[in-house]
Parts: sequence; structure tokens; C-alpha cells
Amino acid sequence: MSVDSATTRQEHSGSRASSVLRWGLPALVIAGAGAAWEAAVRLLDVERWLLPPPTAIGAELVESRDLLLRHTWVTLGEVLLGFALACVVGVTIAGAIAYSRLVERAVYPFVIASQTVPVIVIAPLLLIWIGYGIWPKVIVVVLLSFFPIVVNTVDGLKSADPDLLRMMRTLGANRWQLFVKVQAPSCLPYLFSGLRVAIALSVIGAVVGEWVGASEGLGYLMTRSAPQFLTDRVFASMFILSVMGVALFLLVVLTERYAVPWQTRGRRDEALGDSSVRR
Amino acid sequence: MTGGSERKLVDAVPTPKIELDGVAQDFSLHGNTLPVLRGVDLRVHDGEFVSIIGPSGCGKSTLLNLIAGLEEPSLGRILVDGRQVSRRLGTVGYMHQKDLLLPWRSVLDNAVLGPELMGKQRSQARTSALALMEPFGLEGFERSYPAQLSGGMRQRVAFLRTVLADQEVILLDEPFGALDALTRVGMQEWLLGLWESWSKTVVLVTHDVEEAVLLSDRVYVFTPRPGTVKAAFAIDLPRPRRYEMVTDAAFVEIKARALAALREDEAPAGAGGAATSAVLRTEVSQ
Repeated sequence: MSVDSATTRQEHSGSRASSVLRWGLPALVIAGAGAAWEAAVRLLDVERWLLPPPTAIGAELVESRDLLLRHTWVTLGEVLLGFALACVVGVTIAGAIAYSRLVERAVYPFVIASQTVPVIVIAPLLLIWIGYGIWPKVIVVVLLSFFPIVVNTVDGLKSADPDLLRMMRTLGANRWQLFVKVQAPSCLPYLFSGLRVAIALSVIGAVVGEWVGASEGLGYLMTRSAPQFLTDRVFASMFILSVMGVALFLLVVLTERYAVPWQTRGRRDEALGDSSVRR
Repeated sequence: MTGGSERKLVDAVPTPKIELDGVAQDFSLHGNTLPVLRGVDLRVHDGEFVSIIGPSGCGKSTLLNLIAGLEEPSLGRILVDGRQVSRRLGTVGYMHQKDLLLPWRSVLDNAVLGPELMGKQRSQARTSALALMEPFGLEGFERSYPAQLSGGMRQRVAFLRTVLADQEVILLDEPFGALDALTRVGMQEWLLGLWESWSKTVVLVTHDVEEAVLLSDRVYVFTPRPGTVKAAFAIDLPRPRRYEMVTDAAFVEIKARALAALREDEAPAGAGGAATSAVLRTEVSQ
């Protein structure tokens, strides 16, 4: 993970070298691919509406920044609102499934079935039922991203070591204490695995929602720009979407680092081979 | 029988801290009933260090689960201070072979778990925990996470947690079983010093005869499953004990007798049982 190197203490020359490798290598690959793309387009004299060179996309990003930014905020709002709702819905359903076999039998099949129906089929229906505006997009985001949260949280809540729970009981713990002090913390790493998948799906969900019917947002901008052969604008939108996706993903990883420090700290010491800590 | 003769001798002594009276435990497996313990009579007195040795799978861990209150026996009674308490959970400390530290808590926060669960004041628990960091060899590691510690250190944190829970009886289920030989000896000596100054009632389950003889006042030897008491030895070696004593003649003799009782399994039960009862009587009356 690229973030590991950012927080690792830098006095270790070994980790500095690996940090250069971690950041430098992807940068090098991107620069190389961009240069090859630019050269191919120029040498073969490809029309700009067919495949714009990276420089043209960069120029479009600067020239149309007001337009792009306006649509970016709309999409970002849908992503964040949908992701937040997916967290609430996902964790609630997972809690009910983990603590009641009845709910598990009654609800889990529908949770799974909800993922077998393609979202692209549901989106137009939402348009018919709810109309335009932000909510059909938010619902698509929730539908896509609540599933990994539910599945991982259910596993996480069931993952608590039974021996740990027995030890807590011999110390006199009641059921609520078992949940707060053992089951909930045991679940956190699983929850964050789900959140990392969910945030990536949220961006896709928002664009799919806008694709089907919208009057603003980056997905809408792309559907409007393509028939006008504004190919550089389509690419500029795609660029912004991937930056948004990566940034949100890293935000989740950073939150995990803060919320689950016991895992990351132990791992870090092991990575440093810090023998002075052990005895 | 063994149990009867011992009970007569014990009557003269004050009420045992822990008393098991004809305890049996069965497990259901695919519809079959599997007897794990049969007719276990066992007494542990206040401040006594008692070990239970037996072949693996003789139900030693089940026995500790019963005493701790994690399970209820199919038959028989378990008395604490002469009373049959319905809820033993929380009154008897239990230390497992695994350290069972909460990975998301620092050393200090793991140590104060017992008082915390009992609703005691956190600041007071922390103060007494910090005072014990040095004797437990954990000074400077109060803020570390378990993943950053060695196996021996983690086990000492688990001990500290057990001690701070301040339960009068402590059950130890092969607490050194997962450690390497050298660390194990160090931990045994350390536990000896700790127990001799704390004078808690301790029940230790182990399959290491030397460990049992070195640490205990009395040793119970169990039969293979279904487990029951086959023999009991009083270990009248002087205290304080040191690890060097394992080569003393008296130590070697007791160890040899305990080993013989343990390995008697192959011989028919009748003859061996009578011999062990004789040993038991002489040992306990001393």
C-alpha cells in the first residue's frame, strides 16, 4: 500500500528506498504510457475527436475547469451521500443478520438477490418512480455499495475468537460488554475491507445513475459530450472520476489507519525488523 | 476407594476453597454421549497450589471450565467456600494456554480489564497496574500493543490481568505450554516467586510432571478419558523453591513416583490403584 511508506519513520534507509520505489514506479509507468500515447497520436496524425493526446486533455481540464468543477461537485455529492447511507444501511442489516438466525434466514437471500439484478436495469425504473434529481442516483450508489459492507460486517461480527469471549466471561463480562469490548473491535478490520470496496463502487454507481437520466454531474457531461465529438471533454471527465475514486479510497485507508491502529502498528514494526522492541 | 479415605483426613481441616464432589461431565457428539469426566472428587484449600497432571485428552481443560463456571456438570456438585454458587463466572480467575490479550488494547488497558468489567474506577485500576509493571517485567511497554511483544511478555501481561482481577482462585491451563523450553523455565521461576509472595489459591493443569512437582503443594494424577482422580501426592519439598532443586534427590524421587502413577495406564487398574491409595494416605497425613 502506498500509504504505508508515508507514515513509516523515514530514518530507516531501507524504507526510504522502498518508498521511492512505491511512489516512483507508478509515476514512471504513467509518464511512460502518456508519452507513448502522445507520440502515437502525433506521429499517426490521429484526429482529435477520435483520440485526443494527453496534452489536449490537459488543456481541456484547464480551459473548461468551471464547467467540469460544477459537475464534479454534483457527482461527489451523490457519491458521498450514497456511501454514507450505504454504511448506515449495511451495518444495520449486518448487525441484525449476525445476532438473529431468523433475520439471517429471512433477509440474507434478498441481500444476495439484490446483487444479481443488474443495476443498469434498476436505474431506469428508479427514474420512473422517483423522477430526476439527486435521489435516483443516490439509491443506485446505495444499491451497489451496501452489499460488500453487509457481507464483510457479518463475517466480522462472527469472527470474534470464542476463547477471547470465554476469557471475558470468566472476568465477569455481561453480553453488552462482550459486544462493545470484543465483538465490535474484532469486526472493524472486516468492516474496513468492505468500505474500501464500497467506496470504489460508489463512484461507479453515481456515474451509472447519471448515465440513465440526469441534468448534471460528470456522468451526464460525458453522455452529452460524446455525441458532440467533444472527446477530450469525455477523457477529462474520466480523469477527474479516477482521481476522485483514488482520493476517496485513500481517505478510507487513512481512516482505517486511525481507527484500527493495533493492526497497522504491529505490521509496521515487523516491516522495520525492529528487534529492540522484542525481548 | 481413594476419595473416601481422603475425605476423612480432610474433615479435620477448614472448609476447602474449592470442592468437587462426584463430578461427571458428558459431551454429546453426533447423538452419542461421550463421557469426559467420571466421579471426580477433588479439594483445593485456601492458599494452596494444586496441580493436575494426566494424559492428553483426559478432560483436564473441561475440569477447569467447570470450576470457572463456563460449564455446568452433568452430575455432582462444585462448592466454593463450602457453598454451591449458581454463578461462578467472575469469581474464579482463568488463565489459558493462549495469552488471549485484546489486540486493540495497549498492555496497560489489557491489564486493567478485570476491574473495568467489574465497574471499578479506571484511574485506580491504572495506578495499581502501573505499580506492577516493573515486577512483571513490563516496564516501558505500558503503551505497546500485544503484537509488538514477545510470547513470554504477552503471557506476563495475561498474568498481570489475572492478578489484577483480584479473584481468590486462579486456574492455569498449561500457561507455559506454548513457550520454548528456556523461556518456560524462566516463567516457572518467576511464577514461583510471584505465588509465594501473593499466596493465592492456584489450580494448574499441565502435562509436564517436573513443572507440577516444582510448583505445587499437591499433585492430582488423572486417568485417560473418562478422566478421574487416580492418585494424589503431597509435595513436601521446602519453600521457597528454586529451579535448581529439580536435581535434588528428594525432588527426583517424588517426580519418579508421579511419573510411575501417570504411566500406570497400561497396567490393569486393580493392583496399581491399591498401591497408589497407600501412597496417597502416607503423603497426605504428613
